[in-house]
Formats: sequence, C-alpha cells, structure tokens
Amino acid sequence: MKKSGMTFLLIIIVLIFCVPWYMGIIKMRLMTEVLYYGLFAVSLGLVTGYGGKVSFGHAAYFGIGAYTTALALLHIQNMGVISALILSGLVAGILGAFFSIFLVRVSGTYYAMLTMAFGQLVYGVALKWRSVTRGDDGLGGFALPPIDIPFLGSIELIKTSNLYWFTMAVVGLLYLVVWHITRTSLGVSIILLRENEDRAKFIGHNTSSTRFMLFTISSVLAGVSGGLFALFQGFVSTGSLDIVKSLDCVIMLMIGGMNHLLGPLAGSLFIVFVGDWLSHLTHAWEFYIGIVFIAMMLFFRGGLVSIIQGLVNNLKAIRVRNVRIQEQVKS
Amino acid sequence: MSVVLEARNIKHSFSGLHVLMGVNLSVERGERHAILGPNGAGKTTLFNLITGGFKPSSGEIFFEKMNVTKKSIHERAREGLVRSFQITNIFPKLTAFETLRASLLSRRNVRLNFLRHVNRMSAVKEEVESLLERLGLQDQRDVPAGELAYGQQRALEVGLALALSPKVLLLDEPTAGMTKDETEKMVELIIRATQNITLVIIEHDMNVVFMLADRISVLHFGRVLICGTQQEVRSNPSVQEAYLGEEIES
Amino acid sequence: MQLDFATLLIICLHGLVYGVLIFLVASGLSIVFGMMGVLNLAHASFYMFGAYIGVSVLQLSGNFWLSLVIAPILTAGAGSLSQHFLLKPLRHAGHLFELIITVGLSFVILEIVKWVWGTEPVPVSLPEALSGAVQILGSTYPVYRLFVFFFGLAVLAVLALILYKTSLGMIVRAAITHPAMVSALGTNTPLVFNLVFSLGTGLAGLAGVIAGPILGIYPGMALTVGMDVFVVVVVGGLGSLMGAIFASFIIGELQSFGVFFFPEFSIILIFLLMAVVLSIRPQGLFGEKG
Repeated sequence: MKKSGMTFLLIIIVLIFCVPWYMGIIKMRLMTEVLYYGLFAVSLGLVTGYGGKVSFGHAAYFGIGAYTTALALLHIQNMGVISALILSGLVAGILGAFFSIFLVRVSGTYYAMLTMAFGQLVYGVALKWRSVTRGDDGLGGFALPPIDIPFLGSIELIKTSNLYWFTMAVVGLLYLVVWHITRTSLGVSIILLRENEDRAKFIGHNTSSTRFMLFTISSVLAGVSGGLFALFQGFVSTGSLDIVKSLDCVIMLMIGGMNHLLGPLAGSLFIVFVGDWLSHLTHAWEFYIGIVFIAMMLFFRGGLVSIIQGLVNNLKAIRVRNVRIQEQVKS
Repeated sequence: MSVVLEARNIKHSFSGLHVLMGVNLSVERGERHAILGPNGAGKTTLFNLITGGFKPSSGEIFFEKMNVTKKSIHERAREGLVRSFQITNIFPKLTAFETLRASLLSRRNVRLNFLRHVNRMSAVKEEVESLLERLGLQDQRDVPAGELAYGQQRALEVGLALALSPKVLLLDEPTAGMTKDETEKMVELIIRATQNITLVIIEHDMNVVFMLADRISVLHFGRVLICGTQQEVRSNPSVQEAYLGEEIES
Repeated sequence: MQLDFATLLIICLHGLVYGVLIFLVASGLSIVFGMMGVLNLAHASFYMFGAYIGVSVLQLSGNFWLSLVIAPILTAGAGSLSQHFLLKPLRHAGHLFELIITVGLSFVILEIVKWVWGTEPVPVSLPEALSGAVQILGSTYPVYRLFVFFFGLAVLAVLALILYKTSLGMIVRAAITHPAMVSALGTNTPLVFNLVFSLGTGLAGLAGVIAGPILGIYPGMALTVGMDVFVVVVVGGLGSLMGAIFASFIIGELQSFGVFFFPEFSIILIFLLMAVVLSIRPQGLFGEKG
C-alpha cells in the first residue's frame, strides 16, 4: 500500500477511534450505527463486489444474527455479550452455508432471485413463529450485561461511548479479517470468480467450493453485524430481516462503492448521517436518497470511493502540472 | 508408446444440429498431435468435450486410461488435462503477473487457503517471474490483461495453461490473428514448453502444423477423415478433396 | 365459516380473479426479462403508480372509465421515461447494474407516492354499474370482481392478438427469444425495447387501476403484489407467457385457499415453492435454459 494510502487510512482510524471525544451522544449513536451497518455492507460487498453476484436477501443473516443475540441474552443464563455475538455469527453462518448449497447451482438473475426467495422465506418464518420471535411485535427487554475483563474490571455497555468502542473493536477486527482474506489465495480465488468464472474452472478451481466458502464467511459477518444491531437497539423485530433491510444494504454498498474495501463504510456513513440530516429537513428524505442512488448508478458506479479517488487523482494531476509550469517558468 | 488421451466414438449435437458424428481420437504420450479441419468441423466442440465443458451426447473420453467422461472441468484440469482458448478467455482486470500467479497457485493446490498472504510466497513469485520471461511478457508484468496487445494476450492465454504444468496440453488455435513474427515466437515457445508433455493443437496455419505435428487428425463435418503422419495426410486424396473443395485459411 | 360448496366456489373465484390480476402484472415483467434480460424489480411499483393515478383521476372526474383509460397511459409514459433514462444507459454496464437501478427506481416511486398521496390507504369507490352482487351457483358474488376477471381476460385476448397476429407482435415474440438476431435484421431494437417496456408497465398500471377497489390502495401494495408476481414469473419461467398464465392461476388459487385454510403458513409455502423451483429448475416450468 502506498504511503499516501497508509496515511489516509491511519487518519481515518484515528478519527473513528476518537469519536467519543468530539461527538455528542446523539452523533455517537449514529456513528455506532454507521459501524455495524458498515460491517453488514462489507459482508454484502464480499459476495457482490468481490464475488460478482448481488444478493437481495442478505438481511436474512443480519436478522438471524440479531434474533440470536437477543434470544441468547434473554434466555441463556450468564450469557456474555461476546459469546452472544459469536453465537450470532455461527447461526448466521450455518444458515448461509445451507442456502449456499442451493445458490451455488444457479447464476445471474436467477441467483439474485433465489437470494430474495430465501430472504423472504426466513422473513416468513420469523413473522409466523410468534412463540419464539413474537412476530412483528418484536423482541425486547434483554439487558446488556457488562463485559468483564480480567484484571481491568468491567465495562458497562449501557454507556454510549463504551458501546461505541466495543462496536468499533468488533467491526474493526472483522474488517481486518476481511482485508487479510483478500490478500490470501482464497482472495485470489474469489476475484477469479468475478473476473471469469468459466476460465477459473479450466485452471482447476472448484468454483462451487469457492462460492460456498465466500457466502458462508459473508453470512457470518452479516450475523455478527446483526448481533451488534440488537445490542444497540435493545429491540429486534421482523424489520431486521425483511426485504427492505436487504435492499437498504444493497443501496448502502453501491453508494459507498462495491469495488473498494472502504466502500461499504463510506456508504453506511453517507446513508446514516446524510439520512439523519435530511430527515430533519424533510419528510421525503428517502426520496432524495433514492435520487442520489439513481444518479450514482448512472454516473458513478464505483460509488463515493471512486468519486474521491477521482478527485485525488485530479488534484495530483493539477499539482504535477503546476510543478511543471513552475519549472518552465524558472528556466 | 502408450495412449494418454482417447476419445471414443464421440457423437454430439446441439438442439438437433449434429456437430460430431462418431469421432475417434487417440493421442500417444509425448507426441504433438494436430487437429485440422475447416471451420464448423467440430474441432473446438471436441476440445470442449474433452476438457469437460459439457458432456457428449454419446461416447467416452479416457485420460491416462481413466474414464473421465463424467468428471467436471476442474477435476480434469487438476489431473493435468488443460486447454487454452481460441477466443482469448482471460481475467481482464488482473495484471499479467497476477494472472499467471493464479494458475500457479492452483497448480500448487493452494486455492482456498486463507492463512498465508500471497505476497509473501516468494517461491511462487519467482516462478511467475520466470514464466513471464519465457512468455516474453516480463515488461508487461503489471499491465492489466485487458489492456495488453492482442499478441501479448494470446501469449498470456497460452501461459495460463502452461503454468499448470499439464500432462496433456490442448491449444486451440494459439496463433489465431497473429503476425508472422508473433507466430514464430509462439511456435518456439510451444516447442520448448512441450518437450516433455503431450500436445494436442488445433490450427489453421499449415506452416505451424508442419513445424510441430508428429501426427495429424483431419476432421471433416464431424468425422475423422484420417489420422496419420504429415506425409500420409498430405498425400491422402480425400483430404485434398476436402481442402480444395473449401476455402483454405492460412 | 363452513366448508360447503358455496364457500369453496367463492374461494375459487377469488383465486381466479387474483390470478388474472397477477397475470396482467406478471406478463409485462416476464416479457421484458425474456427480451432484455432485465428483471425489473420496480415493475410492481408501476402497478401501484397506476392505481394511485387511477384513483386521482376518479376523484377529479368522477368517471371510473376515464381513469381506466388515462392511468395506464400515464403509467406507460412513466415506464417509457424510466427505460429511456435509467435502463438504456446501463445496458453496457451489465445486468447487475440494470437490476440495481430498478431497485432505486422502486424506492423513488414509493417515496413519490407517499409524498403526493400520503401514507394512509386511499379509499376508492366503485362505479354504480359495477357495484352489487349476482347469484352464481347458489353463492352471492360481487359484480365488480367478475368485471375484473372478464375485463382482464379481454385485455389478455387483445394482447395475444397483437402478439400473434400483427407484425409488431411477431417482432416482439422473436426478440424475446432471439434479441441479437432481431437486431441484426435491422429492427430498431432500442425503440422496440422501449415500446415493450412501456406496454408492460402500462399493463401493470391497468391492473393497478382495476385492482384498487379489491386489494386496496396503500403504499405497501407494490411489495405485497410484487412478491406474488415475482413468484409467478419464477415458477412459470422468465420469458414464458404460457408459464406465466399457468403460474398466475396456481398462485392465485394457492393464495386464496392458503389465506383461508393455512393463514399461518401461506407466505412460507409460497416462497418455499419458489425456492424449490429455483433450486431444481431455475428456468421455471416453461422457461428455456440460459
């Protein structure tokens, strides 16, 4: 990674870390949302941006993760927050692995449709299984137990800044994992899927296995982000796994940029903050987001990240030109 | 001499269009076997069937004496039955380096490993660099494949297959669309690369065929007219008729 | 309710009516996918758009038949604009982006509807001539629903006539299965695409107008009907009208009986059906592979 890229990244990490010191409670809570929605969008980005196939039912894994954390905290004695999140990831991962078996056999538009069908299936089950999920009334009332760290005491997650840092830690860790994967041969195999799945087979890749692994990893991440959502909201209903949630994630990913690792985070930052700001100005804020989305799809398919990269390149070009002009003037 | 690749009585039709009507192909280990025939004779279809792109309507494929007719594409590729494509079929956004590295990683059975960073695999890196040199692509190392010149793309196309260290290499018109110089370089590369392996090559360029081939199978309207040495094929009357009756591409 | 013949007949008839409505919407979606390779996820939004425009025309003019004419035309116009400005530019960018922009379109249409007409359901009154009920085989059945059924069938008959008896129809049918070929033969493909897309959305809008009094006019109507339409095109086979007909009536009856007998599971059953079909035979019952 180039020096300028590293510096930029470091600045972002520092900014994210220091949020509780320069943001009030309300904005901090928004930032927490940005983080776990960003993770959700990353999970979708793996399948879509990296794997090249869009999923319209990803909220199923997000929602399952949310319900798992909520139910675990409600019904299991001495359940810790971290264990709940791990459980969420696992359950979502198993669901994803299961669906992936069928998804692997279809491609293109049919794939998108099947993901939607599976998403609706999960939604239907969650809606009707009232004894467990309380349907569209939703689950609430689960307390956030403090996290006990040996020798250091316990961290009360009720405190906004603590919850924020905890979310940041989890999201940051998983982001690191994703980044790491992209540098391994699994990452290479995944890129091959997007670039030319057919040829990948002819050089010995079992693309079904690759897709299976990819989707499972993605659903684990989505599940954990759902768990964070549950912790944050304190309430989980069928809204966490319906088609609107799935499509929201797609919009977030595409606005941010599906070809870059930071794209999903940029997208969630945009949607959460701009959405919040707009919603204070007008009731029709979702309309404007929709318009922005359509405009981006027409003119900036690489998302916000591509816009920023374009700007940076233009600035560099201007600087280089200025330096040349200066040198010409001198001589 | 043992037979390393065999296609037995292959018949194939696409929605009623009969493309192959009883093709028998027998390739001996270590030989360079060319497949000739006018367009539409079914040559690329045959390659597709041999490598697992789809299953033949009837007939069987044997590789190293094993019946591979039901095996998938990647299984055959992993066992050493590798092809290249007539229409360049590469990974547009990967650089030449990354492209060959992908193949090499596959050869080393490192595909789903999520523990080691590929950048740190120095042995792989060295091998890719040397392969780039052999292909004459060392200057294009960091150029995205989609931006390469046509001749360079063809070299990469063949390189992808070579990187897998195949036992049997199937090249589908590797010199298609190349200039005379490029063709010469390609033929040199092929000769060097296939010293110890078996080669099956589809070609239209007669000069290439006569430089390379030990034996030739001539395909005509879905059937093998003759399979024999260059001498036998050149002097065969039905081959002459088939080729004089069609437009000769060269 | 008792399980007698009268009740069963009513459920059956409801299913037929719903089936016709669904088919009116699904046919456009199916044809557009077959011809252009794009699954328009905003298709049901045009259904909703038509319904809202229809009820507004009705409120302004007091004339139901006027709304029946104007709303589909306006919806078709909206469809034409959408195809021209949103889908056409993305043709080269790939199906992924075409699909995704229709998602954006569906959002925008939904928000426009909520903005202009509010989030509360809009009441719609039936014209005098079509209110009331008739006796069929011992049951009392609303006239309006019968009207919807026969009117829908009439529209479909006209559609079939256009498709199978006119040269435009022939071009469209050819373009559904062999778009590249049709283009190579010199037809102005972009124009045909736009026409067909407009026709499809216009049909959806028409369905919206006549469905309004039965199914209600509210912002969520696109999603509700959209899901069933989606299942129909999948099960029937994208690009296959025959399949869409079959599937529409199957889904129509499934919904009708499902709501009555298995209200807890009908939504799950429908999606299970779709998931099964997609997994085993992605091209649907009548569709062609690839």
